[in-house]
Amino acid sequence: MLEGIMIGLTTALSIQNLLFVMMGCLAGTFIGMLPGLGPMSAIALMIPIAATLDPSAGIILMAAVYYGAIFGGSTSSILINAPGVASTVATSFDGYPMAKSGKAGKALAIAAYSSFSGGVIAALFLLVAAPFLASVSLSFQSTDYFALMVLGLVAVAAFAGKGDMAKALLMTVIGLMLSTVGTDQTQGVPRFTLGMIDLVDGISFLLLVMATFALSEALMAILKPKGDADRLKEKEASENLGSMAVSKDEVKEMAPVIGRSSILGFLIGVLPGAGATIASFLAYGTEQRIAGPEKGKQFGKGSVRGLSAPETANNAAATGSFVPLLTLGIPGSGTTAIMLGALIGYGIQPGPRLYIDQPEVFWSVIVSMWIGNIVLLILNLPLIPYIARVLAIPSRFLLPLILFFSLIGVYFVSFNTFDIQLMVLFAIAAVVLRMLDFPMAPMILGFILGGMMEENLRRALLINNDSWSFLWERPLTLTILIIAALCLVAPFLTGKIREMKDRAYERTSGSGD
Amino acid sequence: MPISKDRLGGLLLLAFCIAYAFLSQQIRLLPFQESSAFHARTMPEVLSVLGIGLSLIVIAFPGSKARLELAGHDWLKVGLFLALMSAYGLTIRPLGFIASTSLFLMIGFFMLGERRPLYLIAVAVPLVVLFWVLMTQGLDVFIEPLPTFLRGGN
Amino acid sequence: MLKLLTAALGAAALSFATLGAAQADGHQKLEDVHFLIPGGAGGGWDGTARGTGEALTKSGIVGNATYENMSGGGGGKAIAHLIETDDGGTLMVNSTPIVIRSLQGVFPQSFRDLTPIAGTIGDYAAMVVNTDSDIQDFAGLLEAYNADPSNVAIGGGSVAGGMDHIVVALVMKAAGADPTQVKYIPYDAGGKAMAGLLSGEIKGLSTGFGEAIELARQGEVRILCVTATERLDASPDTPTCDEAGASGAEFVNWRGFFGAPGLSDEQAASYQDALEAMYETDDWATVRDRNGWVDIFNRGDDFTAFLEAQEEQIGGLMRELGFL
Repeated sequence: MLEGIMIGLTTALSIQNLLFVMMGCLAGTFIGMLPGLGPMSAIALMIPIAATLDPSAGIILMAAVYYGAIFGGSTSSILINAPGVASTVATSFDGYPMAKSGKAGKALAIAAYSSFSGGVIAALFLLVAAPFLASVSLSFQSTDYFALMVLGLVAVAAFAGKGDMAKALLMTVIGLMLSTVGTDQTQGVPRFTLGMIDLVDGISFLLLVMATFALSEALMAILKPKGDADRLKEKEASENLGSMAVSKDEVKEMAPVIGRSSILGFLIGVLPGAGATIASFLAYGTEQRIAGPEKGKQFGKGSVRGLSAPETANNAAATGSFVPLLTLGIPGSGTTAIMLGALIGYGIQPGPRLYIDQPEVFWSVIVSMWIGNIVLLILNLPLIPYIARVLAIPSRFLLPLILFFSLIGVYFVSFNTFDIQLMVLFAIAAVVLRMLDFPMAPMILGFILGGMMEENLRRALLINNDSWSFLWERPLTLTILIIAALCLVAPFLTGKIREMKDRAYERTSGSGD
Repeated sequence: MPISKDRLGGLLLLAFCIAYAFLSQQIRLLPFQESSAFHARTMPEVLSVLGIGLSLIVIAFPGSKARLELAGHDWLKVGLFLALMSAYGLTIRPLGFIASTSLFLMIGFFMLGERRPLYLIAVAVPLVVLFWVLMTQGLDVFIEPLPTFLRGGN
Repeated sequence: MLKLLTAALGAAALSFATLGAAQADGHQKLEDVHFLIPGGAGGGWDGTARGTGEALTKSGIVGNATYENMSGGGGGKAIAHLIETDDGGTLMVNSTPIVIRSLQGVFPQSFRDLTPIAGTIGDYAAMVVNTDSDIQDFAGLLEAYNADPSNVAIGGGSVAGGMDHIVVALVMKAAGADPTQVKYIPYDAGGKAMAGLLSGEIKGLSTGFGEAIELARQGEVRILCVTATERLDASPDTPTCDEAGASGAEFVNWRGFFGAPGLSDEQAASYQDALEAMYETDDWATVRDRNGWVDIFNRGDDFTAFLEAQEEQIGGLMRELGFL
């Protein structure tokens, strides 16, 4: 393992790659702060650039942008109560009240230290867990992959809000349906192409995400313009941050919270499909419960713990979601799905073999996580008062630019103008569905996992001569399926998370992981 | 409107699922493919059933009674922006990147209330040119900068 | 990185580009080449075009190279574009799938609608098993297959009816077995198929030799035979499929370049000369070795004849398997 870290360090610490980390962190923070653009869109915008670099540099750049964007998202949550993406919704619960009471700088600092610790601790877990899991996962077969996809999909239902379960499941099915468009990966049959050559290769994940998140978010802002009072508030918030110092007592209060939330966040991040949003809500809820009645009452009114917990957990989960990507080739979240696409573009197949075949890629990802987090802390924190000025860009300039960057980000990957028209179509559908309070995140998840689920199931059936017996004859498959079944039952047993998710759905229908 | 948001969304998605179910029957299979237990049409068929079922559940048991608020929304402007994006897609190749993108941004800024011509040009054009230089010279991404009629012959 | 820095300087980058063009010296054969890549950024086609362009410009054979990606329709979009614009300055990169996909009818055009310039690099196919497999050689695989084909799952990185499937069928048929009985397990990428082989869920694998050789050296897989005409220097102990009992089973997965349909013979010849001259340069050796490519060069009419033969070979098998 030490040898691996050395490989990673020598790759990641070259001057070139360090520059990429810095640029990535800054660009990510900048993009993440913009309304509607989260980590997913930020990474997507980097793909055309990353494609021209060598794989390690490209991945390091994307990882840096990822952390930057998460940090940027927290900043806009805290300063103007505008969580662009769902994973930072919980951050605004206590971050915004703290900022309103004149302690914006402190809130940003606490958020930064928490996400730094969460990221660094989780990267340590990743360092230990990934090689181990990679060696175990060498023996994973199609049946096990199928079971894992089922588990990931079931997680949607498990964490959907009360009364929203049917809607979330329906949107998941819509995502699954969209994943069947294009040439069938098993039999080579064209499906749902409507006779159009542009649909033969299917719908790109990037296109779907940019249209349903970034485009629709900007269009929603055009649809319902903010009042002048709101604009003024945003301008003020971005100009007066106050002191960024954190007291000793506050550090003492944060430390145990960070410890617990990193572990929780990492474990949830590892589950395919669960991701940073759920991790942040669970961490918030858990901390509120164990804080005791007195401290618990402060939650929602600017509690240090209430800010620290979700920030730590969402960053830890973001790191955790690299485990299934690096060891199984399964994207655990939207962000890692985009990274998977980028890796395949390099001719690198993430999965059990990555650790053995391309150790420099494997290790430089892990090492770049530490470097990314450190750079974020020492570079971004001092710069945040200036970066926050982004929030003061007039929306009449900002919104057309967001539309342009979203369209061009997709176009520069495919260079097919049909994609722009398809995005317009998806954006219309997304705006309508969001107006009707239908969540987009489950659809994206269904889309990511759907294709892989079908492929693996069909492969398993082919190998087993059309017999379904592998579902119960292979212990590993059976175990994962039982866990999935338990997840499906779990929400009837606990009500807490559902209430929390209800709040999330009311405030945003985006997803940040 | 006498219909709740959940019901309306459910109805729209039901229509989509029915169209999907219909199209799934159009998938052509070769004779030997049809005989396998799980062929290219199986998954779409299962999804059609699930999708139609779930949208019926959403319609029958809506989670909330909230109604759709249409007032206070600038639908016309959103429609115009959608048309603008579509037009951008149609012009990016024939007009070239620089002209089509500058136009797209200037019209966009204009529609959102920026009326000073100098600002429109001063924000859009340099940004587009800088972006183009960065992509083509720095990253080797080829983007046709000029309109078709200005390009030299072969 | 250097590029990125120059880009940040903007104007400096522009002058840098013109300087580069002026530097081209005496043995320059072409001013400009515009590469059309039928896929997105990254990926095999992109790498081939950019690698070739890099070698051509660095060695001074070509003054300046530009690249245009155009994905869609399994490459059909770019083919249609090349035919429509009929631009003599454009070279499109393509590979074996152009033959397979036009047979399948994914797009209506075929290589006949373009001007084949040259095949430049290639990879042979290989039959591979896990090192701990009880199948020792191709005869062993054939024996197991003849005993019970449904017990010999053979995977590959393409859909059923795609290249890897066709290779298995080709080899089995050449060995006198029934190619329609092959239990082919499709994966969506060669790397995943390899992982499947190592996990033990499939018995054998049909893949590119280049992909298999690295793992064979590490002792993880055994290459039973390779579809080359003679043994390869990279692995002299591996028999060709022809020697191993599949007589005449030869197959090469090529990559090469095509020009616009209306390209004149002189224009085509100047491209071919440029590509031919490239093989002599150190710049090409660097690019080739970095990517693990194997030189195969056949230009003009040889290339067209090769494509026709491959179309017949693949088409015949696809008909036999029921895909056409």
